[in-house]
Order: sequence, then structure tokens, then C-alpha cells
Amino acid sequence: MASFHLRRLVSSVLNSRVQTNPLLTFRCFCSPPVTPFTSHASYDPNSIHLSNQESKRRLFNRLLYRSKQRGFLELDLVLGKWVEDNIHSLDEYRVRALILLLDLENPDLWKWISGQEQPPESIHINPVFAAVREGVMKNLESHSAPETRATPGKPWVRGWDDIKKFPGGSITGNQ
Amino acid sequence: MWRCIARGLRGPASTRSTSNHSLGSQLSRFFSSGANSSYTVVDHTYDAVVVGAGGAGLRAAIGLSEHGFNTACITKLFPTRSHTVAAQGGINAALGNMTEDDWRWHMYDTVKGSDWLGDQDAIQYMCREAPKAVIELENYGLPFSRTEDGKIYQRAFGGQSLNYGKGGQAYRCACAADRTGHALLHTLYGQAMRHNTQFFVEYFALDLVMNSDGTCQGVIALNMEDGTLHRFKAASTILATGGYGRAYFSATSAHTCTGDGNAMVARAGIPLEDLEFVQFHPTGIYGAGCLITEGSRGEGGILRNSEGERFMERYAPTAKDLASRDVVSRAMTMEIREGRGVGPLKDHIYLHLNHLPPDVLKERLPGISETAAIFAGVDVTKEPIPVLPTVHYNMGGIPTNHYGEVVTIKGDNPDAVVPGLMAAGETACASVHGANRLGANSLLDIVVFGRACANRVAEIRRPGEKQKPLEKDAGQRTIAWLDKLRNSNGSLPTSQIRLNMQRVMQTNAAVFRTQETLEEGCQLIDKTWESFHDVQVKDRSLIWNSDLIETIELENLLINACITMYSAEARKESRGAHAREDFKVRDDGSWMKHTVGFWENEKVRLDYRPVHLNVLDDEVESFPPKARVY
Repeated sequence: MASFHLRRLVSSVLNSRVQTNPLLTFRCFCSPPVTPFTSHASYDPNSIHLSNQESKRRLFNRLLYRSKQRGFLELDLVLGKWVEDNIHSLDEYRVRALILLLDLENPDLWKWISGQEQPPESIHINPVFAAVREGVMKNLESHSAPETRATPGKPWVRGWDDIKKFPGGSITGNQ
Repeated sequence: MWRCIARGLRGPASTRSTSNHSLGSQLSRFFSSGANSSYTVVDHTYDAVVVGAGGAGLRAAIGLSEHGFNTACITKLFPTRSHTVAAQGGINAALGNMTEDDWRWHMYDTVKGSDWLGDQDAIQYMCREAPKAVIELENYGLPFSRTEDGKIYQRAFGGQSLNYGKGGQAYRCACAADRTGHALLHTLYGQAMRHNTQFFVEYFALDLVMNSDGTCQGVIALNMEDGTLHRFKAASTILATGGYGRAYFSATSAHTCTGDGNAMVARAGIPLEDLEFVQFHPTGIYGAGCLITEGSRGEGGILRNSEGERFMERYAPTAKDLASRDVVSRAMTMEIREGRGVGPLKDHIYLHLNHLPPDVLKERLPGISETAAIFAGVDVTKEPIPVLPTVHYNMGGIPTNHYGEVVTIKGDNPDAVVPGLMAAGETACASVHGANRLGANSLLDIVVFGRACANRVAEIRRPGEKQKPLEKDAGQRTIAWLDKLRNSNGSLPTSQIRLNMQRVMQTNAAVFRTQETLEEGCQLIDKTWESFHDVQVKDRSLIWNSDLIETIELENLLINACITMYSAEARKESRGAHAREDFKVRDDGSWMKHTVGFWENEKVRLDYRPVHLNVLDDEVESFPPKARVY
């Protein structure tokens, strides 16, 4: 499934770079596109029109909704706030980058933004991703002593530790 | 947020057709007459409609499709954005992969954890079906973690025991690393796509469509993308809309958890059950809601009030900061209420970790210093973390039997089924969690009862059977309500009313409850409801109008909040998550019953229905109530 995402993402980024505007057909999430979504199926991130006020309002409201309503509290807070603060100053290129970012999966996106995992290169160069992550990293550098932090690229194991089983720790872990 | 005064620009009703390729949908269009003439309404007919595409909704949709029912799934979020994604712990099931285990022991732990308010027939059903449900998920491809010999790995959780509490720790929680909820969503979503469920994504469910004999005939929803209204006619409607954690100031829930299904049911004249039972975690980050694990206190973290006092020494002289969650939460709240909170509003507490060695923070509390830095802007080696008790789960919800059918009080019958309506997941109250949820039972509830709803529909309905036509005025009241809300011209922004509601709930109906706090809370929440009549919606558009959506969600939260407050005030005992300082013992003689709260003419009316102490058959005996010492 991840490779499916990456293929689509790379394709879009490349198309964006060469300044063409092919009407890419985005299929639904899974491999066998049996049933199109009534809403998502028709959406084409390349048809962005920021000059028309009404279409801009709709697009921005849609993106704000999807940014602030991730279903994942950490992303609601970090990504939602960043988009709310910055969406009106984004150019078309960055709006497209945001759209691609919103398509990613919550646990992956959170791990990449918070530095628990190295993101794929196509995400790494996404300008919106870079800006959001920069904000998070700035907070970490300012407010988190390095000796208390997980090694970059290592996950923050919360709640339980199935592997290490610290001596003296609770059987039910760190809940 | 973007604001656009669109009234003057709005032309006649959109003539754009809504694309819909489902064979099961009979597309028809009409324009309402009179005041609602600007609303486009599209009609659809399905065998079943599911509202919500989280774990419970997806599981119900899969089961329905597997049984051959033409199924629509309406969701305000993309399916894998449901809050189910955040569940990390796992799914309880007595598989016996790590040690010997038995579903009856799991049932005992659940009944005990519920503080005997759980319905034992539903608990039996859930615990007995748990292994089956987990094996089905495995067969769907859920990537469970594995033991060395290839079995599903199961981890320990608090409150899980062997041999009816006498046999030590149970290892019962089947997990997929630390992302079980996400893995569950993806597995179910893939399966739903394979079964041709028709998804309506970013449709906001507004209300149930009830006919005059009390049968549910479907729902009416708003397509946020194009502003059209959609009436979904279905013989079976299954609500799976999650909890209402956002009614409180501090919640671990995502911001989508606004209790929409609960409110739809309440507006339809059906009561909500046991809303007074709300589960809290003591240490959520102030203003954000992200949890700081209890392990931080286990490793020596200390809670301090505004006077710098380690106040847990007063409340729990022996255990101090290691006291149980409810004791710590209540102590924190008492300090705040007595004016010793910290911060400009004196409404939170400081958790000190600065005395802990850096390697303890890094190795034994991974993620804590990062979480504090990102969400509180605090360096834990120099400053305390601002925390307060944070809503973790809503035990109450839409009353259902163990089939998932919605029930209500009708005359002398406390278990009267509402025809055509079902509910599953956190929005439902089966009641398997009773007064307190056992850890890792929430994902199990989602899967078992989503599945149960589908199985029940298959028992009592047939695919494609003829449905009674909608009544002439079906949905009209909802459209009038939507129109009124959209044109609200009051003086109070939605965000201000919401914050006020959240503060009232956090101050008066969180973990510290007395007659005084709850009576005051009832008055304050009534005033907050009254203030909603003065709400201001600036955006008049129907298309991607987040101002309007948030206002509808606020009404939904307010209904949940009012019923919660009144239910808590009325219950004069302590039980599970409902701990009262003025009625310290559980009172089975007077209070072994479920609270049901009706929302009538903008007022809460309470009634009660009996707890099911009976079990389903002779595979297990009922567990008689046992005293719990607080």
C-alpha cells in the first residue's frame, strides 16, 4: 500500500516540476477500484484555481477541515495549527504540496514529522512537510534536552515495551 | 479562518447533478417549496446505511455486504481518518496464546471493571465472541504481532486477571505493535472496498428520518463538497459515530469526536444511556489533551500545586503520586477547585520530572520530553509539565441490546426495540463497559458489535426487500433547523460558546462530583445551552462551510453535555467512573440501574431501566455484585 502512495506522489511531484498540467486520474485508495467515492473520486489536486475567490474559499475550507480533523490528536494540533496559520500565504505550488501531504497516513505522518522515523525522499522534499517539521524540530531543540530524547529516527515507545522488558517495571508496562 | 460574505453572491439553487453510480441508489431530485426552496435534496435507497466509517462502522458495513445487503456508508471523514486510528493498545480476547485463558475470566474482569453496571448478557456475548472476532480479523489480513512460535502476540493490561481474579495477570490483549487501531482501520477499509460498500465521504449526517410509528427509515445528510442534502432511505440504519470527548476542555479524543450520532438519537426522542460515566486519565497536557503516561509518576514524577506542595501526600499518605488514576484525578481537581491550581486561571496542576536523571527520561519514559516540548513548550529538565485530568472514554451512549439494536423505554417495556435503528462502538451503550471501561475492551467492543449489527440485520431482513415510502414531510424539520442555524445572526461566536461549555463540563462534571458542584453545573450548562440561541454563523454558504459544521457539532456536543450533567447530578452514589464525595459508597439497592436521559423541548428528562444481571445461557453463571472499596 505504501508503494501505491509513493508512486502517485512521485508522479504528481514530477508533473508539478515540469510545469505540465495533465489531468491525472486519481483512483480510490485500494488496488481494486470497485466503488468510487461519491466525493473523493472526482477530486483532482492539479485543478487548483486560487484566482477565483469562491473556489479559493472552498478549497481553503476543505484543506483546513482535512488538516484539523485528522482523527489523530497530535496531528489535529500540529498540522491543523500550521495550516490555519499559514494557508492564506501559500502559493499554488505549496497548496498542491499540502494536498499531497494530507493524503498520507496518520501514524506515518506523525512519525515523520516528529523525527521518530526517516521520511521517504519525496516527503522530505515536500515544502509543506519541511515547514511543519521545522516548527516541531524547533520546539524540540528549544524545549527538550538532547540527553532526555529518543535518538532521532527511533520511535517513542509509549504505554508498553514489549521488547526490552525493563527490570523492575510493571508487567502491564508504562500505561 | 476564511470568511466570505456569500449571501449577495448566492444565485439560484445549484442545478449541478450529483454523480452517483450505485445501482442501488434511485436518484431523484426535487426542490422543497416555501422557506427551504434554496435546498437541493437528493434521494437514495439502500438496504442499509451505516453512519461513521471508523472501526465499528466499517466492521458493520463489511458484515452487511458479506450478507448481500446493498450498503451505504456515510462519513464526515475519510475512513482511515477516524479516531479509531489513535487506539494503540490492542484488542482483548481470551485466545490463550501466552498462558491458559478462558472467555469467562475475561467476562468476570469486564463485569467487575464495570462496577456491576454492565449488562451481563451483552458482556457474555462480547467476551465469548472475542476470539472469533479476532480470528476473523486475522483472516482479513490484520498484521498482528507474533510470538516466536507464530501465534498472535498478546500483552498484559491492567485489570486483566486469570481464574476470576485469583490466578494472577492475564495476557489477553492482541496487538499490532503500537498501531493496532490504525491496522484495524486499514484492514477493515480494504475489506469494505472489496465488498462494494458505497462510501459517501465528507457527508455530514444531520438527523435520523423517523416515521410517525417510531420506525427509523434512514438519515438525512449534508454533502459538504457541494452543499446538497441527501435523504438515505434504508431498512436498517447503523450509527457508529464515536464518543463525545470534545464536550470537555481536556480530552484525548481527536477534534472530530463531537457525539453526532448521540445527538441525532436524542433529537429523535430516543434517550441516551449512562452518560454520567466518563473515564479520565489524570495527566493530559493542559490545552492540548495529549497524555503523559502514568509511568511518569511510576518513575518518580511529582504533582505540585500553586504553593509548591506535593499535595498527593495529603490524599494518599502511603501511595502518594502512585495512587490509582481516580484518586489522583480527584485530588488534582480538588486542588484546582480550592484555588490552588496553577497558571493564570489556576485551572491546572504541575507535574515535575526535573529531578529525574536524563537517562531515566530517555530510556524508561520515551517520548515524554518530546511530547512536553512539542505540545506544552516545556523542557522537562527545567520546568514542570502543565497537566489536568483528561477525558479518555465515554462509557455511556445510545442504549442497545446485545444484538446492537437500539432500545428505549416504551410503557412497561424497558427494552423496547426501535425498529430500523442500531448502534455500535463508542457511540453505543450495549452496556458492556458499564460504569468503567476495562482497558483494551474498546477496540473489542467496536469489532464485536459492528459485527453483531450486521449479523442481526441478516437474521431479520432480506436484501432488496421492499421498503415503506418516506412520509411526505420526511426531513423537512431538519432542513428548517439547518436553515435557521445557517442564518443565525446572534452575537456569540461558536468557538466562544464551545469553550464555555467545555469549561463548565471540566469544572463541574469531571472527576470531582458533589451535590454543590453538580447543581451549579446544571444551572451553568443550562445557561450555556440558552446562549446557543444567540450563536452567530458568519458564513452563509452551504459548500465547505466549516463555520456551519462546527456550529452543528456544537449543538450536538451541548445535548450530550446537558444530559451528562443532569445524569451525574441525579445519581446519588459512587460507582465506577462516577465518584461522588458526598455519596461515597455504591448503593446497589437504589442505583443498580441505567440512567436514561431524554432531550425534550430543550430540557433533560431522566428515567431508568434495569441492569441485565441475567446471562444468555448456561455456558456461564451470572456474577453477583461484589463490593468495591474506594
